[in-house]
Amino acid sequence: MTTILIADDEANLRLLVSASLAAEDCDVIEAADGDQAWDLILQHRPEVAILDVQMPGRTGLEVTQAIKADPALAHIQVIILTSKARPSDIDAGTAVGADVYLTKPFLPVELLTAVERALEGT
Amino acid sequence: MTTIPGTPPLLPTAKNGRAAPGKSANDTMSRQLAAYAQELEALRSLHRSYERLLPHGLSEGAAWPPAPATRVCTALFTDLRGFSGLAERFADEPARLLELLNEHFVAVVRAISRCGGIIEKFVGDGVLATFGAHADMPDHCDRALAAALATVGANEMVNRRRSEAWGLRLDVGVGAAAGKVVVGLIGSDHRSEIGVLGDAVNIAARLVARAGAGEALLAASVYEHVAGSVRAELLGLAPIRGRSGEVEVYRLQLLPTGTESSAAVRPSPPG
Repeated sequence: MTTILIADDEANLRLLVSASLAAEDCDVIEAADGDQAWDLILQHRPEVAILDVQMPGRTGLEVTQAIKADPALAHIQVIILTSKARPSDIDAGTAVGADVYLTKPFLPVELLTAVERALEGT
Repeated sequence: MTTIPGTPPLLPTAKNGRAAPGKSANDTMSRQLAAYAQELEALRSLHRSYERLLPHGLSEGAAWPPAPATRVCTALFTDLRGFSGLAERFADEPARLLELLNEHFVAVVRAISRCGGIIEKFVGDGVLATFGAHADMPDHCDRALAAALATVGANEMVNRRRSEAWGLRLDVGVGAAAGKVVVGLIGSDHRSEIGVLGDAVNIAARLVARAGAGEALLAASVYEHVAGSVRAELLGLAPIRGRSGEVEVYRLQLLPTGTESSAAVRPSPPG
């Protein structure tokens, strides 16, 4: 079964993101910080990782960079979901290899569509 | 010794004057034990049935009758779109209609429960759930919104698995509002149930009637608490039937457009 990782330090945000994906036949795993996210990525090798940028431990951008730098993990589709919405923030996400950049507050349907497209690409 | 009415005592006692166990006494004891086990299973079965009939969380350790309790909570209604048309379609096979409906309800109940909601009742083809009505829940708005998302998504999962075999889709809408409610026993000594009453319940019921397929309509009382996380479209102030004040309503489209059934009927706004 497809596995999707959600990393965000806000529990309610993780709940909302997880609920937005209820139409997908997938396992959702959750991380409350960047270091836990990295550990879960190594352990579960998810098909998609939805990462906040500002988290305790590694930032979402650092996790993205580490994913894309590792040939064994580079296929993981990374969706950045953050409140950092300036063009320079989006450029920074693109620079580290994020596949999709979404901003909070998010449109659930937009996130669902992004995940479905990401899964088609895996 | 405690016995279940109608069940003979298990062991010979001085009071019942029976002899010490021999072979026939052992047989009698075995029969009594078997009868006791049967009674116990019947009681357990009754208990399970009783638990299913009560809103989850009320069955263990709750005082009876429960004292009325007032809390701020979020009320959430779900409703299937175009259900009357479905009922007409299955007019000669109502058992099939029940089967479809229950498959939908299994998904919806699981989605709501996972978000911490309590299923208060089934209302025809819909569900009334509350978040924070039975115990304090500071994040009741977030949880109700998550339940709305999960309800639509879980129903979509049912459609993806079953709509081809069924030859139809089930389309669901959601309405939610927050405010003070009272939970208490409603009815008479003869017949009563635990009910939830309040303005928020009425508003949520009116909103779900207007929600289209794959949509959640949120009163501002809910949306203002979740606006930092999720973006919704402001529909404006809407009159609520039977209520003098208008309610600011936000719309969340939860499925990509085109997913909903073309046969789904969008109810006209109440007058």
